[in-house]
Order: sequence, then structure tokens, then C-alpha cells
Amino acid sequence: MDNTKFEKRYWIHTVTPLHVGTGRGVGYIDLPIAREKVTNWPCIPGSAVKGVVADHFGATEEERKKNGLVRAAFGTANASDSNEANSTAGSLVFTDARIVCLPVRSFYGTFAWVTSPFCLERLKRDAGMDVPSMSVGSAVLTKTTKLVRDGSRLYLEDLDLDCKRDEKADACAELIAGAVFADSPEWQAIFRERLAIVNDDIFTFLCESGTEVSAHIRIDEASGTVADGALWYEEALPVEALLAGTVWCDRVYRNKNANDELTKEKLLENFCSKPLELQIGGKASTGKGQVRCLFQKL
Amino acid sequence: MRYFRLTPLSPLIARDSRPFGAGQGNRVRSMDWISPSVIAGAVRTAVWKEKDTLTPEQLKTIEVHGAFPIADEQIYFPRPLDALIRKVEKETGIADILRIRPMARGEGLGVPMPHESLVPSAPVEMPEEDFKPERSDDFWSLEAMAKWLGCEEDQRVLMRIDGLPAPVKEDRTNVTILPESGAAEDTKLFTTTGLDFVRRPRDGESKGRLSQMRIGVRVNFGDYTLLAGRFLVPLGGERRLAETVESGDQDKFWKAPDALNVRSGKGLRMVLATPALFAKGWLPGWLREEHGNLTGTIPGSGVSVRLVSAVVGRWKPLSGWSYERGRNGPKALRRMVPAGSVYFFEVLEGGAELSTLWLRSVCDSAQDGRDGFGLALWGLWSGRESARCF
Repeated sequence: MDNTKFEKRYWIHTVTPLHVGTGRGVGYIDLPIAREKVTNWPCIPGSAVKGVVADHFGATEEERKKNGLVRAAFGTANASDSNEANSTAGSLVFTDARIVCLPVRSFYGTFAWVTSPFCLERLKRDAGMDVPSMSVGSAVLTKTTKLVRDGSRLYLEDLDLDCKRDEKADACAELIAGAVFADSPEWQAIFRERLAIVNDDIFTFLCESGTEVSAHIRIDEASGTVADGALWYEEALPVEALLAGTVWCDRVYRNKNANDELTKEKLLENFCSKPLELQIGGKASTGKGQVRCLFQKL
Repeated sequence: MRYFRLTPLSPLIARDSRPFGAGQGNRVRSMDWISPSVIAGAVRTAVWKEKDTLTPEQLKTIEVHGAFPIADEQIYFPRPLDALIRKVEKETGIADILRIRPMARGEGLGVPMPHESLVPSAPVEMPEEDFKPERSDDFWSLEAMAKWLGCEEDQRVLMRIDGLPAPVKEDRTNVTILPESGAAEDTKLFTTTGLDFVRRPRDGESKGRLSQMRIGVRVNFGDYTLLAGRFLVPLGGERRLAETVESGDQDKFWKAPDALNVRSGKGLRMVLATPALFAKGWLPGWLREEHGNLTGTIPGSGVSVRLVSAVVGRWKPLSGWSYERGRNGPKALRRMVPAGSVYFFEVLEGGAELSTLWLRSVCDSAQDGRDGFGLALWGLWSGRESARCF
């Protein structure tokens, strides 16, 4: 039996800036965001996504005890002792959500959804996509791009890059736009006009310098001025960033006595099919972390 | 035999045996590389999930061999410990290597040996001035390994290793957020360390073209061929996923290179490509004392050998979590001889079948072999002129 059909790709589309933090940073940013170790690209750990999805479906410990479906999907800990042998593993497994497109300021077209060959290579599984090869200092754009005007220079942040238009970029744009903006042809067109594929090195540079960093202060209630020592810098993944991961349904572990019909299809159908509006990461009360979570069949 | 490549979809946690859990420790540490039993367990569990009537005994007959890194269409093996790297030229990548070979009898370092027939091993042509050996890459390409193993000479050598560093370790701090309060739950703070399988660019190298490191595995399903050509498996701690894809043309990675002819030699080197488990600690159980020597027949062959010396790394812990029915729980701790350890043998008899021994297990227990432990690579040595005892 092929277990691939119990697997879906999930997309995270940031609606407000997203701050999945790593605690206090040692650099000039006090509260940096989570990044992959080698590439230094922003990511959302799978555990963060899973916790939030579980929370969205009201999977409290009490609910998990009562509701077999929720328990099968997200597992339950045996609170009475610390022995893991008596716990039940959840069947839904979320991988990390890895960056696919980073919105970057562009001289033409307002902003570009920037991606790189390695991002696409990771996404390529099952899609049969042809990823264009890149040389340093160049970019590949779609046929209908709005990121250049009367020439062949692309201006992203303070970089200017040689660029060419290639059908392979159109195919990539089609795939991503079709998944993320499935119900909106207008947004699909907007995406196609703004996709730029740059070399991995440049993409790393943009991931390091193109995120949103905002300064914060706290006002002392008594004086109405800034509290002493209360200035900090917070990093966030900007609005319109696109990330993707995989959700897979493992064997369904259920209570021996439960006679409910729990299947992998049922779990995926229940928890991983309809688009979800979630809040992920920190600083929720300041509006951060509102995302659309979309599931795509592979 | 079927060959698979595993691509981790998130950083993998290859836990060491230190405890973790409520009241035991809040830190999950990761070893530098995945132990063979983790892969074997993952593959067998995947088979069981397809057909859960199979018993643990039936599942344990499935042979899972590996795991070795594969990057840019090359397979890599752990660095052999009989190479002492003096210096690596940054620009060219050429390494200045001293060969570690058994010393002459009586030339010892003044330390008692575990057995009186054994001699210590030491670098040949050791320079007068002190130097700190370079750690170099953790893995060597098959090509470099074949070159290293095929050479009988004991002189200093300048060669390109074309190595691969071990995956980079990534730390994560996790908290539990209470749905009732939206705040972190008290005492629920822990960190995990995982292995990031994106190939790390060398210092000063452009990240212009990133690539993915994969894990190469060879599986002999025997009677239980069930798995599809592509499937997902949870691997290691925290149920991180790896995509497993069958690859038909990997046979070449698992065969002794044609250029390597180990039939002719009288001196035989055994290099452990995966960690080994022996009943007598570092000493293979198939070696027995006979007329004051440690002699035996290499498992699966008619080659009779005498152990002359060994270069063995510090032991590594092996534990794990058993999902076997009735035995569910932590496994007992065992000590592994680390991969890369080298044993020097003198061939007493036979030798023609040596090419069939490539990447076969030399462990004492057949089950440890089916779990992928003790896969050996074979090469030659002749040693110092004065050290020759044959």
C-alpha cells in the first residue's frame, strides 16, 4: 500500500508580520526569528504549526480524553505519571514550514516574491517542476513580469541584477499561485507578475537583510516617557511571505476499547483540508502572526 | 537488495543515550550521525505499518544496511582513523597525511597491550616538530577511500580527500503554550538538537548553489517486500520525517571499486564503515587465542587471519526505544566500536573471496549485522619494513 496519499503539502501565507522567535538574540536584534541553521533562511518549526493547529481544533487535554478523533490526531499525554509508554502519539505529523517566497521591495512593481533554485528544488517533489539553473548576479522572471521596465535590470532592495524571462519561471509561478491563491484569479495574476528567482547566495542575503525589524519602547505609566532600558528591536517575517511544509498521517493509534471508525482519510479530511486562519508565533496581542494555512493534495 | 535514499524534511534528532523527560533532563542532544539501528527500526516499523500481522521476529529478518551520506551523486564513508592529517591546503584541498601503521615488535611505546601478540600502531615518518593534527572532514568520498585502502605503502602522502563535513547541529528551544491562558506552561521548557542535512558550504565558499545531503540505505526485505518506491518515515527523535525514495542505480555505491584489488595482499586492513558491536568490547568475537596469537576466520569467508594491531576510537553509546510488543520501553545501553576504527590483520590462509566482503557485517551476532552494525571496508597494508612479520 502506498502511503503517499496520506500526505499533503501545507502552505503558510502571512497576513500580518510573523514572529516565531528563538528567545533573546546575541546580535543587534534583541528578538530574532527562527531560522534554518545552514541556510539561515526563516522557517517555522513543525512543532509550532502542529501546536497551533491542535489549539485551533480545541484539542485541550480534556477534549483529547473525550473526543477520539482529536486524540487520534494530536495524541495525549498520560498525566498521572511521566512514563511515555502510557501516552498515545498523535497521528498527524507536521514537518517544518520552509520558506518558498520572501516578499522583497522592488523598484518596479512595488515588491517581488523572491525565491531561489534550492527553495524550488525542495518544493519540486511530486510536482515534476523544471527548476531553472542560475548564475551569480542574475535573476529569472516570468513572461508577464512587472518587476522590470524597458530593460533587463531588476532592482531588489539595493541590489541590481541582470535578468531574463523564462517559461520555467512561469511554470513555477503557476504551481505556487495555483496552490496559494486557488480561489482568486486576480491574485494569481498579481503573483505571476511578481515572481523572481534569484541565486541561492542572493536569496540568503535577502533573507538576512530583507526581514522586518521594528524598534519598540515601553512608556512608563508614571512619567509618560520611555521606561529606562525599555528599548528593543523585534524581527518578523514580512506580510505576504510564503512557506511550505508537509503534513503526513501516520498509523492511527486509538484506544483499544474505542469502537469509533478512525481512519487516516478521516483525520486528514477533518483537520487538514479546509483553509485555516491561524495565529502562529509570539506577539499575538500586537497583531502579529495572523496567517492563512492552506492544504494541498499531492 | 533494494537501495533507498532518505531526504530529511526537518532536522533529524539522532539522540544519544542521555535521559530526557519530566524530572530527567530538559535537553535532547544529538549525536553526529544516525546509528544504523535507527534506520533499521524506521524501515521495519514502516513495513509493520503496512502489514501489522508480522511478528517482531519476522521483521527482524529484514536487513537494513547503512546509513551513509550521499551528496552530489557521491557516497561517503566515515573518516578512517589510520590517517593522521597534518595539514590541509585551503586553496587546493590537498591534505598532507601520515599513515598510522603497526610498530615493530619490541619497538613499543612502553605501554602494556591488551594481548601480548599485539603491537601498538603509530604514525610513520612522524616529524620532529610538534603539530596539532587537523580534524578535517568527518566523511571521505568512496573514491578517496578506495585510494587510501588500496595503497600498501606506509609513506606520507599528499592527496585530495574530497570530504564531507557531518551535518550541522541546530538547537531549538520549545515551550508548551497553554490554550487556556495563551501563556507558556510552567516547567515545560526544553531544548532539542537536530542535524540539518543541507550541505554546509566550506569557509569562504559561496552558498551560490546549495545542495541536499541524503542518507543512503541498502535493504534486503527477504520475504516481506511491501514498501512502495516512495514513502515517508519518521526517523529519530520527535518524529521528524524523512522522504524515502528508491533508487535503482545505487548498486555502484555499495560495491568495492574495481580499482581496489585487495586479493593480492598479505596484510589486510579492516575499516569499520558503521559502528560495530562485539561481544568482547573492541575485539571481534571471531578472533580466538591460538598459540599465543589472536587468530580467526573473517565471517562469511574462508579467509583466516591473525590480528596484528588495531586503531580504535573511543566507544560510543547505543541505546534506543523499543516498540516491540511486550518489550516497549528504553533499550539497555551498549557500547559501540566507532565507525572509522581500523584493524590490521596478517592473512594466514585464503584471500580470493575478499571482494565479496565489502560492506558486509563483521559483528559477532547475525542480528547486529541485520541491523546494519559493523559493515566493513577492506584494504591493504604492508607496514614498515622492520614491522613485517610475514
